[in-house]
Amino acid sequence: MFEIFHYSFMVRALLAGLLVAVCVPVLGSFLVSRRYSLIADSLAHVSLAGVGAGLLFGGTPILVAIPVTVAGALLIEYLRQNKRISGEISLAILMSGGLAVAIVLATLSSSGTDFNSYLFGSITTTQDQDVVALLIGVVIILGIIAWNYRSLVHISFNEDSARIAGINVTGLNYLLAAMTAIMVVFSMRIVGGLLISALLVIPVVAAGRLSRSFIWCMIIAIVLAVIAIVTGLLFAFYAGIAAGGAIVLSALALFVLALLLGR
Amino acid sequence: MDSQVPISVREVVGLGARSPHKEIDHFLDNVGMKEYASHRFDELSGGQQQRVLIAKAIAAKPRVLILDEPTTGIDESSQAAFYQTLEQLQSQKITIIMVSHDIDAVLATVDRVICLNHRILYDGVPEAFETGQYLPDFYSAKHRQLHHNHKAGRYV
Repeated sequence: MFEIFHYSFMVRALLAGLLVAVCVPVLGSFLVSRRYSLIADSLAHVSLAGVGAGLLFGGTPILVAIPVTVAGALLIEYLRQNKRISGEISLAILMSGGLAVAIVLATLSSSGTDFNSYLFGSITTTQDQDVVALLIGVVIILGIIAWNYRSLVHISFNEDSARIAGINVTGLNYLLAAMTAIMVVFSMRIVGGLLISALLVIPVVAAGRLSRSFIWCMIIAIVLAVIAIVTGLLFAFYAGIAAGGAIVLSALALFVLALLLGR
Repeated sequence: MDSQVPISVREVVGLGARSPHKEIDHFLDNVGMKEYASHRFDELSGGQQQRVLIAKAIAAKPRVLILDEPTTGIDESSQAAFYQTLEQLQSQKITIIMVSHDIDAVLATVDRVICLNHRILYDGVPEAFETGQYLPDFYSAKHRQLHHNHKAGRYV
């Protein structure tokens, strides 16, 4: 059982997974409550375009993906706030557009194997510097959320009421979108770009069945995400299956359990 | 807010409070909802939700409360409890400006009526307001003159 800790790549994967599990459901709670669950899916596809550009031009894929994905997130939020295009349409356009660019760039770069690791996740490719970058990112994001917690909950509850209360709704919405983009990019190596939104949505919806308040929903979602990621990584290690798939299937099993036990 | 993510009654009122978690139970008690503090907001009836939103509003310690059709979609028994809550707030010197088509309730509870239809048709005390003179028939058919007590606060 504990031989898993003899492999440094598994220790790194577990550490990175735990960091993702603590941060992603917190962002997910604000996004699901705003009926914006699919934003992570769209951003993951946009981030793949960044990865493709990184592979093609020889840069570090993650470093290229971060500004590209943040720009995509700000664009989605801009389109939503200015109501030129409805939320779901802007998400769909960014999703397919991002993937199309990613496929073209990946084909040109002929780094198929590398690209697959970003699509489906690859625990063996997680490096020490990935874990450190993730730790810094998670601390900053959770700090920003803690500082603005009441305002973010107020916006989730009712945007108009939050505006009347003097909260900078527009600024905080852009900030939430940008933070989501950064976590999507950081999480790609663990669960893969195609499955990241599952980690953002499923633990939150499952926790919603088991709680009565926003804060407890968030806490339970973190616990469920930790269980899903640890279980998924163990399955991936011992059964030799893709980590991303195993993590999401674990999360889905917890969701079914929550449906049966919850309200 | 999507009901997949819960928010408790106490959390909703806390959104309005200047200092979070302080006096929340007091504000809920004010609107007769203290026993529901730990309930999910989305599981309350329409009338109960309105009372919680009033508690959220008064948590910001306002001098004036503006309500736009606050009883729309709420059953009659809940409406009675809601207006009772407003009367209590009125006695705490909070001025309430309410836009409503519920003529019976308006005339029964307010200090001053302003009847608008493109222009001000009536501006005065509710006792002198004659429904048939200012409003279409379907309003006067429903209208009953109810007893009215003036309270410390203003209620328009």
